[in-house]
Amino acid sequence: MDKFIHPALFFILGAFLIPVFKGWLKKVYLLAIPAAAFLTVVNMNIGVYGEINYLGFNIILGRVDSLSYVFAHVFTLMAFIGVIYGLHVKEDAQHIASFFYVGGSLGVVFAGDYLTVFIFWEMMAFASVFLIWFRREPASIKAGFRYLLMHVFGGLLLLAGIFLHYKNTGSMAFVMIPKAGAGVAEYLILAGFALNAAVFPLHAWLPDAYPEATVTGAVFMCAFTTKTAVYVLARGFPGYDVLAIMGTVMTIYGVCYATIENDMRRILSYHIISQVGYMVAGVGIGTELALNGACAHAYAHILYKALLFMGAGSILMMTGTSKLNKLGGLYKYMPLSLIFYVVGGISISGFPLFSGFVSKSMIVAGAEHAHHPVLMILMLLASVGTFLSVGLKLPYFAWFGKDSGLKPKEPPKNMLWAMGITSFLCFLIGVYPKVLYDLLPFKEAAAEYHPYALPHLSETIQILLFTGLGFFLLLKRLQPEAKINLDFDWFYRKLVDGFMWFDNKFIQSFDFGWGELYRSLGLKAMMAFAGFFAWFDRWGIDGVVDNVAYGTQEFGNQVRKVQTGNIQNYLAVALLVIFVIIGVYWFL
Amino acid sequence: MNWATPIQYLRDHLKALKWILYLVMAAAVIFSALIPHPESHDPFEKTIGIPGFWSVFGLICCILLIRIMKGLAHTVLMKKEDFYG
Repeated sequence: MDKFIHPALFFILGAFLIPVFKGWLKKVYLLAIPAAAFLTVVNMNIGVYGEINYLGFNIILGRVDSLSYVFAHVFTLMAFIGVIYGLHVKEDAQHIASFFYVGGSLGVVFAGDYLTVFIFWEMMAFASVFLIWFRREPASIKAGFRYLLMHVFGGLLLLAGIFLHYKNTGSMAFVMIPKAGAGVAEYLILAGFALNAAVFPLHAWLPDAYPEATVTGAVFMCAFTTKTAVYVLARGFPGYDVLAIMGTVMTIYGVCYATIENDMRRILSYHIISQVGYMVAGVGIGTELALNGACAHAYAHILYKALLFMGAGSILMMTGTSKLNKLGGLYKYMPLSLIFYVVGGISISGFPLFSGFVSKSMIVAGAEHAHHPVLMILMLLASVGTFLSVGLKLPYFAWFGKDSGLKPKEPPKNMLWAMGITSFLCFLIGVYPKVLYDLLPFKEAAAEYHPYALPHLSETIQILLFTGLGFFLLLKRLQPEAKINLDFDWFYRKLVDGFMWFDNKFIQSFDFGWGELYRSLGLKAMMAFAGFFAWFDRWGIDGVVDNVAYGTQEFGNQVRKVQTGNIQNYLAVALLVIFVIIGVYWFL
Repeated sequence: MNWATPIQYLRDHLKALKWILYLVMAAAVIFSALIPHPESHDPFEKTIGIPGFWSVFGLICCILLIRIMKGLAHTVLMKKEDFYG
């Protein structure tokens, strides 16, 4: 294909037509949009398209290279799966929100300048918040506002960075920033990106908001925001040590919280932080192998994490709860959901033959080859926690464990199909990693890497098996508890509380005092002022106007007396006047 | 097809399943002793090459993770569900 059609166009323009279609035609239409976008991406040629000079800025809408290609590939594929999962949703607005959301992330992926990045960045935030609000629970409404607050804050960091960067360099081009040349501007941009990647300590919005989203909305959300952020980090900031360290911290942080969490979708959210941590660390290590690993892991992660959210979402939809302490014994009623979930669970845990094994190991190997043994060990520790929470604890307490007495049905067919297709893809990537490796930005490094090497197999199998042993030894201690856990959202929740207190105490009392002052002093002065004008109006203006009127009336009265209607009198007066005029003329 | 049947079958044979898993664990440790490791003088490379190293690592990490996090949860982190109102 020589011409470039921006895949985001399908979603953004396509969203407007969703309400037009009804019934099965709507379903076909909803599927056709991501399918068309996916085919467009697959047939793309490398190059720079859509260059526009706008107000002196060089806007680039379509930069297609090996890095943007792999992300666009998985984003459009994921959009297709997400649409299948959400086909039963009747509300058009939910589909529209997710289409704008996907369109935003594709816009960022192909953007070649910071202005375009920023516009699509904000579009993602404002479209995705509706996926939270549409759940229509009071908790969702509140969580949505907190989500928006954090993303607006991140967007402002990014915008400030972009402006400073432009002031310093005179360029809006979104390219790799060398570590040596990075100053305040560049680190502001990095912080803006890092917030969306849920980098510790800017991560709390994620486990706060995602568990409150709609069942189908969460499936979209878990895929796009953080992975778009991984893409922009890989584009702008490869090789930054701070990312290698913070990424590894994220991997540990996420699994630690997931160990003690009770809500299924919150456990999975903490594992997004953990898994994105691997990608951020891969970007930070910055070697070809590690960057390939970050991209491969983003690809694999989008699929298996969506699968996990689909499985947990099915339970939430069919039982009405996602709290592990209220669940249990569902394997008799939702066995297919269990099987698909477990495929996701062992994919994220990195079981051989499943996708996580061939992608995560690339980053771990990247850390090892770049001589970061500490990072490597910590990443492997995190993979212990991953299998523990996502692979064992969650499915055990939801589908097995004590019998909760719940007897739900399997979810609708479209949801099962979406899970089935995703499960197949996780398996396909695991057994035939070439399909994934061929998409990676550094082809040679990818071709040289062999995940099924014996030491790696041995290491993985041992870690997983003995994690399982540890789980069953301490099963009693892992009982889910109907509690919530403090995280960094405490700070901004308290900040908001503090602001409300300040508002109530000071701003409101000032407002109140001002109102009082106005009522007592201002109003009186106003009344006096108005009274004066009323007086002036009545006696001054009215007086003049009225007197003119009275004068006219009186004059009219006098004239009326003269106008007797008697022709003789008129003639006499007329003759008298004529004589007077002649007399005057004569004497002058 | 009732997909719950094979799962029920496994549940009905938990004991056998347990023994199979123990055997697989033992096999995994033996396997780690048999595979060739690249010769290295680096102490880190040497340590992770010890047969069964990752088994011990996995088990200890798992236990520590549960113990430490549950301890932290019960002392500091865990709050009632209506904590934020």
